Order: sequence, then C-alpha cells, then structure tokens
Amino acid sequence: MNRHSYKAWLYLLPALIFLIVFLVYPLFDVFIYSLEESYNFASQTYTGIGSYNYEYVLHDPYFIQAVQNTFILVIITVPISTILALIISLGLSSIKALRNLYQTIYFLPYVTNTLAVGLVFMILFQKTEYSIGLVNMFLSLFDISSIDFINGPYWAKMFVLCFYTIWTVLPFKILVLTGALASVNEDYYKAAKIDGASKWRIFSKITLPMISPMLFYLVITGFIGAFKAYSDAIALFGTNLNASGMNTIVGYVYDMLYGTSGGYPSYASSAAIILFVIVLTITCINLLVSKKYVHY
Amino acid sequence: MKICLENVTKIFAKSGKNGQEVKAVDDFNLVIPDGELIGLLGPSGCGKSTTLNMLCGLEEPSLGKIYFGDEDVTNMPPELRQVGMVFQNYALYPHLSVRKNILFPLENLKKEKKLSKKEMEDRLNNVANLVQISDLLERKPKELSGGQQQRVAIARALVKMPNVLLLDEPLSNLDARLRLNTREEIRKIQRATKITTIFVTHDQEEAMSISDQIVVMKDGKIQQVGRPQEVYDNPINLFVAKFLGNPPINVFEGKIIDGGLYILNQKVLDGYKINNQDVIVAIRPEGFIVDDNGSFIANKQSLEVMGREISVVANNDACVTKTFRALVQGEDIAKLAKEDIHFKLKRNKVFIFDKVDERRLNDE
Repeated sequence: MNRHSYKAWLYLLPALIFLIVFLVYPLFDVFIYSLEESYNFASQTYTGIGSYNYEYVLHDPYFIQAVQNTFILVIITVPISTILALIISLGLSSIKALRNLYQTIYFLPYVTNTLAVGLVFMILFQKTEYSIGLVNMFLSLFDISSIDFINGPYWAKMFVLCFYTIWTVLPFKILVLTGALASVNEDYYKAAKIDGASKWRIFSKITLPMISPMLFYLVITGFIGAFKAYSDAIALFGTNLNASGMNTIVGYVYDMLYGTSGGYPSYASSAAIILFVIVLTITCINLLVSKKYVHY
Repeated sequence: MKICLENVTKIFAKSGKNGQEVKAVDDFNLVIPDGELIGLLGPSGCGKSTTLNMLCGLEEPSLGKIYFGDEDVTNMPPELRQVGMVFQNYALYPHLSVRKNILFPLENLKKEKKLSKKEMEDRLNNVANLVQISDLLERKPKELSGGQQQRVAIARALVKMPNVLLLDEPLSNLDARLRLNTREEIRKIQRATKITTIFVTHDQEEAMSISDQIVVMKDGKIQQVGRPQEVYDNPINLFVAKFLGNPPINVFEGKIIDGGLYILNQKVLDGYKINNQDVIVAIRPEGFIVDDNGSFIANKQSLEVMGREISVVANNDACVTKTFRALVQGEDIAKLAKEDIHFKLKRNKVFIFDKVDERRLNDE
C-alpha cells in the first residue's frame, strides 16, 4: 500500500465509520435476533437458538399474504411506471411550447405528501353510505356497477394500491428521464437522420442505449423502493393492513415489532432478513442483466 | 455529382424577448462541379455551417433552390438526398462497435435498396480498407484515438456511397500533427472516390491546402470563390486579404497621388491607375525585400529566426496594428542589424483597397 492509498482510506474513514455503526452492525444484530427464539428486548433473554423464527414466519399466512402483495406490487408498478415515465418524457422533450409548464405540472405530485395523496385517493375511490365516490360515478356512465375500491374485493384494492404507487413514483422518473433525454447530443440524431434511420430505429438503437444507465438506475431503485413499500398501503387502507389483506413485507415487520400483534422482535428480524435476501437477489439479477443492455 | 445553389437564403426567426431576425445565409449562389473538393471558409458565425446543413437537408432554405445534378432537392428530407456527413465531433454512436457504426446507414436501407448480409460485409470491408481501419472494426469508439475516430466517421459517411460528402470542421478536434496527416488523407480519399465533397472550416490554411476551390464567406454572404492560389493572389476585398495567409497580411494607411503609392509621405510604389485618394494598403509578409535604397522604412522590434527565413517584427506609424511582420530570406540577416530597416516592396504582394467600403481598387 503506498502513501496515496493511505490518504484515500483516511478520507473515506468518516463515512466508513458511520456505515459500520449504523448499517453493518445493526444488520448483523438483526441477523442474530432472527436466530434467537422468543427474544425479549426488556429482559434481553431468549429461549433458544435455531431456525424456528424463520419457520414460523414462512408459515404465517399473514406473511405469505404480505409477500404476495409485495411481489404483485413490484411486478406491476416498476415496469408500468418506468415505461409510462419514458413515454411522457419523450413527449415532453419533443414539444417546445409550454414544456416548462408541463414539466412543473408533472413534477407536482412529487412534492405532495404521501398521506395527503392517499387521502385524495380515498376520496376518489372509496364508497361510503353517502357517496359512491368519483371513480364509481365515472364507471356508472358505462353501466358498470359500483365497486368499493378501499374495502371491497382484493383485486380492486390491489388496483388502487398499484395505481397509487405508479402515481407517486412517476414524477421523479419523469424528471430523471427528461434530464437523460436532454443530455443526448443532438448530433447523434442528426447523423441518424441523414443516414435515413426510421423514428423507431433512432429510438431503439440510439436513444434507448444512450439513456440506458438512467433507465437502469430507475429500474433498480424502483424495485428496491417497491419492495420496501409500506406507507402507500397505510395511506390507503389504514394501519390494520393484515385485516384488510393489503399488508406488505415491511408492514409485516412493523406489525411484528409494534403493531397490535407486536412484541415479537425475533419474528420481525427473520422477516426483515428474508426481505433483505429477496432485495439483494433481485438487485444482483438486475446487475447481471444490465451488463448486457446498459451502455456507459 | 454537380451541385448548384441558387439564391439560397436562410433566415432564422426571432428568438427571445429582444431577439432579432438573423440572416444566416444571404443570397448564396454557387455551382460546384462534379468531383471537386470545396472548402467553405469563414470566421465563426459566417453561415458556413448553416449552408452545410441546408445541403444535407437538416435545415430548409427560406428562399432559393438547391440542385443535386438536375434534381431539385431544396425541400427533400435528408434521408433521400444520398449525402454522407462527417460531424465535427464525429457523432459516432458510443455504444456500438466500429463495425456496427459503419453498418448503421446500410441497415437503414429499405425495400428494393435493401442489401444482403454479404453485400453489406463487402461494402464495410471496402470502405474500411479505404480509410485503413480494417483492424479496428471490433473496437468501441472510445477505444480509438481522435484520428481513428475521424476515419471511422468518414467510413460511415462513405459506406452508403453518397452523391455528396459533407465534412463539418473535420480537423478541428485533432492535434496539429495529426491534422496535417489527416488533411492529406481526406484529399486522397476524395481523389480515390471522386465524390463531390464540401467541407467547412475556419482555418484558412486547411482550406487552401486541400481544396480545389475555396469559398470565403462573411456574414452569410459569399465574398469570393476561386482556386486557393487565385484567391490568395487576388483578394477581392480587405476581408479576404486579411483572412487568407499566415502570418496574416499587414495593413497600412496610404495615399495615391498621381499614380504613386505613398505610405507616410514616402513613395513606395509607382504607376497605379487609381485616382488620387486615401487608401488602405495591405502587404503580404513575403512582399518585403530588405534593400538600403528601399523607401519603406520600419522600426525593427525583434527578429524571429526560423532558419530558411527570418520574420522581422517591426512597426511603422502608418500600420493599423501595433506591429507588422515581414518575412525575408535567411541570408539577409546581416542587413538587419540596424534599428531602421529599409524595404523595397514586391508589387504583386501589395493590394490597395478603398478606404470606405474596403473593396479592392483595380489598378488597370
């Protein structure tokens, strides 16, 4: 190790210390909790060591429901929101007039609070004794009988959750992608035009590869974000997510720690570790796939 | 293919609050014979790039017509014009290998023009041989040097066998030595392919060295068109005289009195058929001869010895710049010891311009 790398390590040290104290150590600790049966925070005692917590969690119908919900959420919202954001960004970058106005409008949802947006969604979708809600009113125009999206059937609730998630993640993605599109040098398009490339070929062979690093960034963070979704479900369906069948994995962890069924740090830890493994696996797959399609 | 531009004008609309209409190209008339290499030359903002863009179809002229051969291409979209273009920054697609970059234009061809794999491969190999990049085909653009990228860009422009090859500042991203090689290379490739080629540059040396004809532009207007040597020897106005030549031409204030040319009340040359008036005199650096009987007197500032010749930096009160530069033979060094140096002037290196509109005054 030469003098220069000593210095480099020294500069990295502060960040490294914080990472170790607040990330690596707790992760390690959580892993240990997850192996300790019936761990009790107050008395710091446990009854045994083994894989019992994992067995319990994996057989818990609430957990299975939460995993299912989370996966559906991820699989539906990540591709749809990314593609939608791409289409909107392409639209935005191909207009000149009012572009700034539209950009601002599309970015507005990003600065509004999750719970506030959730409230708005509830008003739009919920069916109460007094009103069937705006969306149902709209549906009734097409002779579709009213559906309770908030307390009704599972698919209706899932639809609202996905809709809501896409709605909230869209602004940031649009922001990133309009930036990425604007940074592509005009000369590439000119060159392609002179060479007679069709619009589709220009898009697929030039635009897409050029913005692929940003797209990839959005897909990875989208996956991770969706796997960690929790507040969205709370905003729509209230805190008792198990009862409404709309819990997510993070929601399950929270419930195990503090919820009505709370006080089970061992189960919570196992669920958290399982989530960690899932996210890690998916991210690794993403990285492997990206090697082929992302051009830096 | 012969190219003809008739009264081509490009006006850009106002932009911004206090924006003004900009006439980027103003009544451009030019006939480019088949197979020639033409250099569009001018300072930045003179409209040369806009002209190039109108030739390739990225911009449409506001007025006027453009013909390729007999075909009117004024409003034809770029993809139908059969032009190859090399951009200043080369615009090589960074995510594609050299091979794929070059094949890109061929893969765009549709229907009856569509080529088989074999034909594409043949064309690729031909053009790669021509510009000598056959061993670089699998590399990505960023793994190439500037000169190699340049060749790839030329290959990509040539592979579709265009009627016209357009080059936008082709040498400006290369270092000085590579520039010399590359311009020779461009000349050779152009000679070999016999494609009518138009290139844009702000570097007069570049334009003069390889062009069959140069077109000097200023403020959207053509100043002068001609063979490089012709334009150099016979500039039509002061701008052209100043723009061509390195070191640049020296400019002095002078007077014509009874056919004699006076600088600082000294008669330096005689026999002009120009009416008595104040004039601008421009003298090429190589137009000075050290001669003790010479009537042009300058105050020596410094000497720059370059072996074959000596550059004398001197001043003279009639000079419009602080100092001027004279190139004299290396063997004259002994005569340059004094402070005040006397010069005789070579008549064919001295140009006289109108003081008001800076147009060349003919002495015939």
